[in-house]
Amino acid sequence: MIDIDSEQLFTASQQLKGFIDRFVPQGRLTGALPSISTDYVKLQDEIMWGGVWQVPGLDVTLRSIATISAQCCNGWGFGLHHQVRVGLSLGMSPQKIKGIFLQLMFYAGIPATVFALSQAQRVINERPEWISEDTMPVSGDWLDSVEAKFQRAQSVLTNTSGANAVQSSADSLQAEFLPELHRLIESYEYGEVWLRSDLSTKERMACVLIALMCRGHWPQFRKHVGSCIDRFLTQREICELISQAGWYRGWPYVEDALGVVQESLAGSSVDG
Amino acid sequence: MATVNELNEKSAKLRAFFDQYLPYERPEPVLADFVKVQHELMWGGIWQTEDLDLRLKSFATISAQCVNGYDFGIEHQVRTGLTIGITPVEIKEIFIQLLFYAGIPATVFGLLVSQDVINERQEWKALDTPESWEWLPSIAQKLEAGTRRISEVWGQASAEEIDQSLARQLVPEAAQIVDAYNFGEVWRRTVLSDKERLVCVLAALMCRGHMAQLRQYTQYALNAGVSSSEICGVFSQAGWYRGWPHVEDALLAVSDLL
Repeated sequence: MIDIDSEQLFTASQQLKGFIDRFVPQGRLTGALPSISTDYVKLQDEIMWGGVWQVPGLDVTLRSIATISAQCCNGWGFGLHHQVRVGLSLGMSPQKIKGIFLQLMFYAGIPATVFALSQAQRVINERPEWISEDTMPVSGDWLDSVEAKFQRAQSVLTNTSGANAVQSSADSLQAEFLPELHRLIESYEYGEVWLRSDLSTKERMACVLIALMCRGHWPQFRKHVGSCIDRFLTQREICELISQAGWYRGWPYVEDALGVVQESLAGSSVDG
Repeated sequence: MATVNELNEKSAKLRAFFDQYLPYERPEPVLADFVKVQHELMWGGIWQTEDLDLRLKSFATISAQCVNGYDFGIEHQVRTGLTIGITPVEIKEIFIQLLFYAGIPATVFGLLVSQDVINERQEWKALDTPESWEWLPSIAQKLEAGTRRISEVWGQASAEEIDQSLARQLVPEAAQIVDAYNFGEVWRRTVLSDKERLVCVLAALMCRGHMAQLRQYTQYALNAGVSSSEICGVFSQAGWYRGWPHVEDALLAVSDLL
């Protein structure tokens, strides 16, 4: 059992908040919270900022990426504002944060990601440093033909998701019932977006994992865990990503997701 | 089977009561038949079943609205709750409890919207007193108090099940902290009864589709003396506000326990 006092969690929370909240403008919506419920704020401080955010085993940038991805799925403006600002305050570039939503377009849908982008831009515009960084966009190395994108997607798929990934994609239900769109989406996702320099492969894996969890796409989540575990993310990192995002999406998602991780591990040892 | 007239009579009476503090006139319906179904089926039917009292129905509905996240829905149901006689402090406690089941943003949003409704009337504001709770100093003490409480109210097996969750095994640091505050502090708070908290949690788990955990909590509720028909009442009440197919999912997951 961990040996820690509430007081220590509170102190740790104030240190972290002092750092990540240093650019919070006055009068933001959730600023009213302490006058609504001091106990709620105490729980938030001690469990979340003093606890969940500070557990070892996952670096804080990946925690931030997981949280932003969860907030994108949640879709509340105030949650996105706050977490985009946390990401920027931690040193993520505006382009990296926008890159999260470009990646999530393929997992959380258009409206959630359009909304997140528009909210992110509002936060980026709060500070001249962020605005000036934002003027240096990452330019994709766009290929002219879809066929070329598709060919490139096949090699990216193999590199990121393993030797069976191309075959497994070709055998998928989407390939059987929606063959043209499946090809087109794969071409753009893996042949273009996945190669951009704004996010690392590990970070993309984290975004995808969290979006699948937050939307409850369990069979796809399981497949994704299988393809990234021990290649791009350790088991510990996956579990910590789940607990980080789960706190923002709803803690019961943690238990559901960990159950699938366990099945996936058991399945792979049987297969092996 | 009730006649349509009976449904309308019951509905009109309940609406007159629920709407007494509505700070605006209800607008002309966009679609009259939609409102007709709402009146007859929802106010005259769903809200009138005898399996759950009005207060518990209100807890279930507010919890469903918290998960839904529409401001107008939370606003309306918090006003209904206050009108029924649920106090502002109790309303806030719903969101404090749901922090552990519906996540931070949903519950922050619920609290922000609730405060605006509480501020609508002087009588409600007067009842909006600060909380006072004696927090235990360490995680170890909180966990122990939580386990003791769960064993007493939900039975030893429930306490063991909670101690052996996958989260406690695979993300032990975070899970110990979360469980310590959830079971060792919030569940012990006397602002709401155990049954009221269970109603909120069952509604939230159903609305988010956490069927395995819904099954666990259904068993805890039965152990704590909540009846099968009350549990069904929670499903139907929250399901009407979240989407009726959630009721079927919930019943499929737990019917053998009821």
